[in-house]
Amino acid sequence: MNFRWLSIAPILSVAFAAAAACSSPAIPNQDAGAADDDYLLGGDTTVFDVSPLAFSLPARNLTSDHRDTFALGDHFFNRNWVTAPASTIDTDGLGPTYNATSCSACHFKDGRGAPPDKPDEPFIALLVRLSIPGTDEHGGPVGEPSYGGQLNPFGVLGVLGEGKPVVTYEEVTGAFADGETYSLRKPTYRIDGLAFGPFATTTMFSPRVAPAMIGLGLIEAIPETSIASFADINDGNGDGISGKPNSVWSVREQKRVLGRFGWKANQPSLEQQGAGAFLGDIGITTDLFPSGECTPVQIACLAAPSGGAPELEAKKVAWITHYSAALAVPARRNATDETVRKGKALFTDAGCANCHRGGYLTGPHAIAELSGQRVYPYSDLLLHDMGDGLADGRPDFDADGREWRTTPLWGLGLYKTVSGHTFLLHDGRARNSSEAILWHGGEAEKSKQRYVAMPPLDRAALLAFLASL
Amino acid sequence: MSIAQSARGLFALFAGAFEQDGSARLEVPRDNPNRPKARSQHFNLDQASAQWNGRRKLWGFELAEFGHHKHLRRMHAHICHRRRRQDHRANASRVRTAHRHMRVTPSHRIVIEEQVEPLAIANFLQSHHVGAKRHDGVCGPAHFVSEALAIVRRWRNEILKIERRDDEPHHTTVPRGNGLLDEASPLAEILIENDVHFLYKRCMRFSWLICAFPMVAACTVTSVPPPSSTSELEGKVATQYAVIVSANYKDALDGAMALKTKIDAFTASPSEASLTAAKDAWIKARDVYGQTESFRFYDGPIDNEKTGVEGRVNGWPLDEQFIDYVEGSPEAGIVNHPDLYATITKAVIAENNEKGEGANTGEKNISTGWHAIEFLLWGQDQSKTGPGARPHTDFVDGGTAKNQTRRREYLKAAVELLVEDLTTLYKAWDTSDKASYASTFIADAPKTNIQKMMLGITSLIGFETSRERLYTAFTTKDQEEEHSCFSDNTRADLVANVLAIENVYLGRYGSNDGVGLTDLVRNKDATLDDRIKANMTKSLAAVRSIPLPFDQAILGDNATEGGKAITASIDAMNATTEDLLQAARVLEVTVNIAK
Repeated sequence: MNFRWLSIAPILSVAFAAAAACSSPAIPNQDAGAADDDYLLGGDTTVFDVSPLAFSLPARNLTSDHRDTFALGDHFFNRNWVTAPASTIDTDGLGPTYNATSCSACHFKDGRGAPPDKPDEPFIALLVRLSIPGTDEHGGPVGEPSYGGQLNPFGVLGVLGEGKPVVTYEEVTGAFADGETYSLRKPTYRIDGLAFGPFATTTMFSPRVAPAMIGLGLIEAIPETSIASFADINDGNGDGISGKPNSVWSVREQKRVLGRFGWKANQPSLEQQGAGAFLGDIGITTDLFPSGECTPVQIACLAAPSGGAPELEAKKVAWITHYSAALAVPARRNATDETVRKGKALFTDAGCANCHRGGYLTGPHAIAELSGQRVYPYSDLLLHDMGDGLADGRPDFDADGREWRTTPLWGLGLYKTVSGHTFLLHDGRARNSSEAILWHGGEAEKSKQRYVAMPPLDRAALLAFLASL
Repeated sequence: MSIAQSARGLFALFAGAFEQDGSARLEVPRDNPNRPKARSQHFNLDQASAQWNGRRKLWGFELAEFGHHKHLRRMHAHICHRRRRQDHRANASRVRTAHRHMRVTPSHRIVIEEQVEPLAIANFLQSHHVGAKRHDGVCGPAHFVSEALAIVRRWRNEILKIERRDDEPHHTTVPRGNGLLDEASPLAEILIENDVHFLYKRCMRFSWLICAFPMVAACTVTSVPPPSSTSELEGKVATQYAVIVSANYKDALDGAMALKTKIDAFTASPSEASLTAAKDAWIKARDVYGQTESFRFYDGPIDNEKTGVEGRVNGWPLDEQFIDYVEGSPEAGIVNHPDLYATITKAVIAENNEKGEGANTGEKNISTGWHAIEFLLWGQDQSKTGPGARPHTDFVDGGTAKNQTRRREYLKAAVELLVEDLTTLYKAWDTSDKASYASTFIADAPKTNIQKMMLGITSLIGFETSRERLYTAFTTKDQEEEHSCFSDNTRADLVANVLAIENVYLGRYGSNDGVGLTDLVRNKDATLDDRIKANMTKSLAAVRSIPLPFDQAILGDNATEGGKAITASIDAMNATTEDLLQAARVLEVTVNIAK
C-alpha cells in the first residue's frame, strides 16, 4: 500500500477544485454567489464594494454620459448650503429655517441617518413631522398652524429655530422562548424651546430618520402593476397581512398616484421626494415647491432674503434626481454560505418574505439602464399595520396612524460599514436587526412570534441572512 | 517509551510531515512559478524530511524519537486507508467551501474573509491539523468533528454578539499542561470578521487526525495542476504591483516628512521665506502622493473599512470655513472657536473630520489632510492670476487675523497626523514584513489581485479624476470644485492621477520598471493594449495643456483655450476608461463600471 492510489480521478478532481476555489477575494467576484438568484440584488446595476463608500457608487451599467450627470448630482448632494446672499451664488438660500445644511449631513456617505447619541445632541438625521387632524385639498396631512408640516430646529442668523426636539429612551425587557432575555428602547419625544408658543392641542408628531440612498431608481422603475399585485387591502386571502398601496399627490402630474418613497410611502417620485427634502430639510425652493415654509406667525422667516426664485434651478434638481436614482445597490456577501442559506429559509418560513419580498422585473425608467433588471429590494412597497408599538398615530394620505411602508432590506448588512451604526426602524429606536424584528407587531406579530420562538442558532442564522443583504 | 506513546509520536510525525508539505504550499502562492512542482501522487520524502528538520525545533519535537519516515508511511497507510476512503468524499465539498473563504497567510495567520459555516471551518482546521484555543481559555484540539463544530459555533455566537470589538486582547498565554495542546508557541492566529482574533495551537499529538482527514492533507501535497503561463504572469504582475505601491508610499511618506520639517521651521519662526519653503514642500509632496491614488477603491489599506485613512488624508472638496476664517466670516472655523474646541491636537482634528456643529455637519467638513494643510498655508484663493495669498503674519502672535497660536497648533497637528497616516500606509505595504498587508496580498490568488488593480485604476479614472475633478468643475464653473483650490495645484494633481493609472498599467514607478497589466492585456489583445497606452499618453498631454491657473481655465466655454484643453482631457480620459473596461473583460475580472 502506498500513496499511488491517490491519483484516482475523484481525488484529483477534489484537488483541482480546491485549487480553483482557493482564492478569497476581498471584493466579491461576480460568480462567487451566482448560484443564489438574488446575489445581484440590483441586477446589472449591482456593484461590488464592501468599503465605507459601498453606497456611493453609480449603477455599474451606467453609460458614460450618465456617469457624468451622476457626478454633477453628487457634487450638489454633498454641498453645504449657506445663507443668502453669499458670494457662492450656486449654493446660497439656506433656510430661513432648516434641519441640516446639506443632503449628506443626514445621508452621510449616502447611508442611513441615526437618532442623536445623547439627549442634549441636536436632531440632524432625524426629523419630526407635524400635523393636525384633517386633510388638505389633495388628501394629504395639514401642517401645524404655527410650525408647518415639519419642525425645523435651526434658523439662519436673525431667524429663530422653531424648537429643540429631545428624545429619551426607556428600556423595556422581554425574553425569547428559550429564556434568553432582550431589551428594547422605547423612545419618548418632547420639544423644548418652542419659538412660536405651544403647538395646537391636537398636533400629531411623527419622527423619521433619513434612509439609505441606494437602489431608489430601481424602486421607481418597478411597475405599478407588480406592486398592486401584492395588495390585499381587506386581507382577502386571510393570511393576516393586508398590504395597502398609498395614493399620494403628485405635484408634477397634478393628481393622486401610487406612493413609493418615504416611511409611509407618501412620495410618488424621486424628483418630488428630493425637492420636498430640499424645502423641508434645508429650506431650498425649487420649481416643484416654489414657496418657502414660513408660517404667517414666523415674521423674521418671511422677511429673510431668498437665494433666488427658485433657489435650486431645474437642471440642478434634475442632476440630483439622477444621482439619487442611480446610486447602486451592492451585491450580497456570503450568499452561498450554508448558515446564510438556512437563515434565508427561516426568513421565508417565518413569513417575513410575505412583505419583505423581491424578484421584480423593472419597467421603463428615465435612466434606461435601470429598466429590465431583476431586482430584490426585499420590500413589497405597501403599507402594513405594524401594531401599537410602532404606531405614530399620524395619518399620511391613505396611510393610517399604525401603518408603515415595508422597508427595503437591501444594503442592510453594510449599514455598519457605511453609516457607522445599525440603528433601524423609522426613528432609529432599534439598535440592531434583532431589535427591529422584535419591534414588529400588528400584521407582522405572527412572524415576530416565530422569531421569538426560534432556538438561538436559528435566530443567528436569520440574522446572518439579513447581514448578507 | 511505551508502544502507545511510540505510536502516538509516530503518527504525530506523519501528521507533521503532511503538514510540512502543506505548509510549504501555503507559504508559496499556488501559482508562484518558483513553487516546486508537485509530482503526482508521490510524497516527496526528501523534501518533507528537510522541511521537517527545519521546523521541528519550532514545534518542539524530537525527530529522533520516531524512527525512519519510510516505515512510518507504511504503518500509517495501513491504519488509515479505510477511514480515509469513507470520509474524503463527504469532506470534499466542505473543504472546497472553506478553501474559498479561508486562507493561511505566510505569517501563519488563518484568515476567514467570509462567513463560513462551522463545519467547513472545522474541516479546514482539521485539514491543517490545528487545534484551537480562544483567548478566554476555551480550547480544544479540533479533533472530533462534533467538538470542532461546537467550538466554532461558540465563536460564531460570540462574533455575532460582540461585533468587531477592537479592545479584545489579541494574544494571551496558553495554559500549559492541559493535556490537549502542545506546549509549543502559538503558530497561527485566526482572524474572523476583520478584527476578532483567536489564537491557534497545533495539536499534533492527536495523531489519528491524519486518519480522519487524510485526503485533505494529501490533496495539498499532490496533484496541484501546473500553473498556466497566464496565471504565472498574473502572479508576477501582482508582485510587481506590490513593489511599486510600496515604493510610492515610501516616497509619499518622505515627502510628508519633508513637509513636516518645513512646517516645524515655519511655525517656529514664521516669515515669508519659511512659509514659501513650506508651500514648496507641499507641492513637491503632492506630486508623489497623487500617484498613489490608484491604490484605492478595493478595500485595501488606504480605504479599508476598519483602518482606512483616505477620508482623513485626502478629504475633498472641503468647506474651508470649517477650519479657519474666510472673507466675511472672521470668526469662522475650529481655529477661531476655543469655546467649542478647547485645544487643537491631532486627536481633536481627527475626531472632528467630516463632522461639524449643530446642523452644519456633512462630508464637506474636512478638518485634516493635504487640503486642510493647503488651506492653512495658502488661505482662500481670491486671485484671478495666482493662488491664495495668506500672509505669514496670520501665524505671528499679534499679527493678522486672530488666534495665531491656535493656527500654528492646527498646522502642526495636521502635518503630524498626515505623517502618521502615511506611516501606517507605508507599513501596510512593506513587502519585507511578513505580517503586512503587502505580504498577504502577494500570497493571495493572482486573479484576485488583478481584479483589485483593475478596480483601482478604473474607479480612479472613471469616477474621480475625469468626472468629479474635471467635468464637474468645468460644468458647474465652481472654483470650489477645484481639487487643490487654494494652491492652484489642481493641474499637477490631475497629472499625478493620470500617472497613477499609467504606473499601475505599465508596472512601473519612477525608475522601477517591471511587468504590468499591459503584459497581460497584450497577450490577449495587442491592439487594445496599444490603444490604452496611446490614450493614456493623450490624456497626460491634454491635461498638461490646460492653461494655468486652473480656476480660470474652467470658467470659459468649450471654445476657449481652457475649455478646449479640458474637453480634450475629459474625452481622452473617458476613452481610456472605456478601453480599460474592455481590458477588464479581456482579463476576466469584475470592476464596478460595466456596460
